[in-house]
Amino acid sequence: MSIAFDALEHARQAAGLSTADLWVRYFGLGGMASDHELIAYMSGASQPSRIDHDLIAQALNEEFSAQGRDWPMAYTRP
Amino acid sequence: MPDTSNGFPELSESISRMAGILLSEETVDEILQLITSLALRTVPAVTAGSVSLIREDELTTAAYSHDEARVVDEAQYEDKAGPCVEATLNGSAQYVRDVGEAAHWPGFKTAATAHNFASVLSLPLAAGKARSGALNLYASQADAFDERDQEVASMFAQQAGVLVANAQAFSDATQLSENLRTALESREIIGEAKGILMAREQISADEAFDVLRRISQTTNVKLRDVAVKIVESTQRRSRDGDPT
Repeated sequence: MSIAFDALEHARQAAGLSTADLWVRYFGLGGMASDHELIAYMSGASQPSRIDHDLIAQALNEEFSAQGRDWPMAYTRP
Repeated sequence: MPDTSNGFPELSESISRMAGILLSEETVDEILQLITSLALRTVPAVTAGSVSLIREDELTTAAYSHDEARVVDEAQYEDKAGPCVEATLNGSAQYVRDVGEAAHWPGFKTAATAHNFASVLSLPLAAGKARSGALNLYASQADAFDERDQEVASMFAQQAGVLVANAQAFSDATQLSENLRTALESREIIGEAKGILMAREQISADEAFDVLRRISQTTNVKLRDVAVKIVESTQRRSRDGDPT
């Protein structure tokens, strides 16, 4: 299964989060990847694991929700 | 870089005083005050000076030698026009040799004339590409700044730019360490909640995360807060004697 990584990067920009901010939030949710790895995921240079993808999606959804928006990021499982 | 240290002894002294300081906003304002008064002492033509800074997307006067300078700055912010606005936004030095001829900046012209300023030099504060504000020097004589004055003034503006950039880095670093502390707390409580779910439901760590994020999404509650509730309810249950 291929996950749309462009979507993550697109959403990060739409949420107005810097990559550094996004990493801090991902880390706060329990993520284990380094900031450099996260940058590689966002640029598509490497693929996040299923759970890393969902952690990033969760961090983005929480930001969208805080801005009064929907939860646009899909997870890898229902 | 040309060695100007012999030519401008006060400047090199003031630069060495500024070196190596990391700064809060209050400290920045104090040092900008110092830069303004040093510029005033060093460039004889100047009668008043100020530093305009962009803070929270608005231009504001962070330091000034005389109230008149602040008032003329503010007239420019109001109109979004004038040498200090232009220097800040376009990053180029603005020299108004004769305020009387600045008809294209009417608000500035009126305010400057009312306070007996006849020429004005505004220099961008720039560190790298980022523009942060301007050093504004006001003189009661028209055409008061010769080439050397402009050169000295632009060195003060450069130093002020470096200072403001340092202060921004300091504030970013402080913010980052605060955010990291919050993230560590969140991470810990989420880890605890996952551990509880793993033991209770006989599931893996990843599955425990799935459970948390599903609750988070369906209830529109942050995952961290979902975790807090799970941990708290487990603590209550164990206090009440329920072994799960």
